[in-house]
Amino acid sequence: MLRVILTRNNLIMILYIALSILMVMSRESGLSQRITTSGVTVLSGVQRTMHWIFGATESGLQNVIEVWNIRKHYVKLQDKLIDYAEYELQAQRLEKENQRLRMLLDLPPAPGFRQVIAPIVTWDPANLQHGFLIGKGYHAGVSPKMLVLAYNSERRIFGVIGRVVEVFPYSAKVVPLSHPDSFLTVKIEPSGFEGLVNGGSWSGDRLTLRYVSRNALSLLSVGDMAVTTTVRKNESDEGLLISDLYVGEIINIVDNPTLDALEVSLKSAVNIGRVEHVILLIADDVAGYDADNHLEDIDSTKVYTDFYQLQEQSGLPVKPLGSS
Amino acid sequence: MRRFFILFPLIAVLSLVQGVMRGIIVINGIALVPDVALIFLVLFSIEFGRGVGQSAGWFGGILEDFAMAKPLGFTALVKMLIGSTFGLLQGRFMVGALMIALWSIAVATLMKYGLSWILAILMRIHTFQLIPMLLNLAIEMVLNLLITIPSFWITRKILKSAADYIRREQKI
Repeated sequence: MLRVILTRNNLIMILYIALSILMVMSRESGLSQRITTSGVTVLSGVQRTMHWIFGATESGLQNVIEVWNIRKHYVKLQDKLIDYAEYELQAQRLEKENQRLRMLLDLPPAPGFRQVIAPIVTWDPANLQHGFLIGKGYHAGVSPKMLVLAYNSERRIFGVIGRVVEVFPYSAKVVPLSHPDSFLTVKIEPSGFEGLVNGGSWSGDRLTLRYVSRNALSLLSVGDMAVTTTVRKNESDEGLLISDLYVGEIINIVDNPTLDALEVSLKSAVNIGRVEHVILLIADDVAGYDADNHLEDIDSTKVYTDFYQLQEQSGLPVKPLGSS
Repeated sequence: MRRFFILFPLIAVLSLVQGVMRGIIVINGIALVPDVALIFLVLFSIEFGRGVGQSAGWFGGILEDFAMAKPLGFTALVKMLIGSTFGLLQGRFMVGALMIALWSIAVATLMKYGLSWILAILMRIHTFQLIPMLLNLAIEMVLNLLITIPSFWITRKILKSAADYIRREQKI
């Protein structure tokens, strides 16, 4: 029995228990206190160092996370800044467009005519005399030889700047009055003398008025206005020429003895270089209504009706005129 | 003796390290550190037997007391009793099954706190209070069970290496 109890392992265990109890019981003694204190002293140093390392790592990680967040914010803000720059550009463009459209809204009405406003689509940048394309074609009622006008918002007048030469479904080609091949009969107000606008300066703001009678020399003066006239229209120009539209203002009269007529320089009513939208005047159906012919039709019908009634009243057989 | 020198350095290092870490990783007064020394002590005691288990437990416990400023010999006594108890299971259990390892660790953790409580009353050490102790027990139980899984794998590797070494030495 004793052998079973007093094994090597049991003896060692009893030794450990005894030692442990002894050590715990003497925990208040100087030696135990010193061991504990020295342990605490040594390991607290390690703990402090590790604590510092942990703290430094933690703050380092926090800093990295913060830098990462700041960078994310920075990238987002940069994107926003690009967006805002784009918005600002769009806003500026819209503002300009608004100004232009507001100017068009201020156009005075032209009674009897439908105003077709067309943007200038392309210019020949090398030479303003070569003409330009407008963004309305025969679907909008545009036809060749039509007068093309623009609005001078400073002087508040419409001015003729050219004529339509070619029409496409949704666009039309316009040749300005300053083109050497462009011809337009005009009348000078108030003297009433006529002339032919043919060509002008490269920039389009000067026009040359030729074939003005030498008799007009004493009656013309600088500042007189040249306006369109329908007196000398051809049959093909029917309904396309409109009278009394401003073309230009006299700025110089040249009496060249080698020529058989006066040559007058005009300042265009509208500076063609600043034009972005043009206006075409299309006669309304009411305006194009031929009242005289209409009355004649009514009268003849009435005459025939009266004739048939008289025939009926006199007992004669009713027989329409012209029938055999 | 050779087995003791395999286990003791491991437990000594772990005891010192976790003693230091217990003072650092603390949230609301509760140390979030598993008792890795206890896990290895239990797993190795089952494999190596009572003699190695109780000796390694006692010396490891002394170092832990030293590191954690506990009454010297208190943890040593607890760990020695745990090492001795699980050392008695040598040959009865194989450390090859993870579930046995998990059960052993759970029992050992409960035993550690139970013995600490009883010994504290017997030795009139008033530093242990019931509620914080139970809270610590719950947290340490969860952490220990989690750490047991990788520890189990490491133990198997060490035991295999040790067996190979001993076999090679015996052949020479």
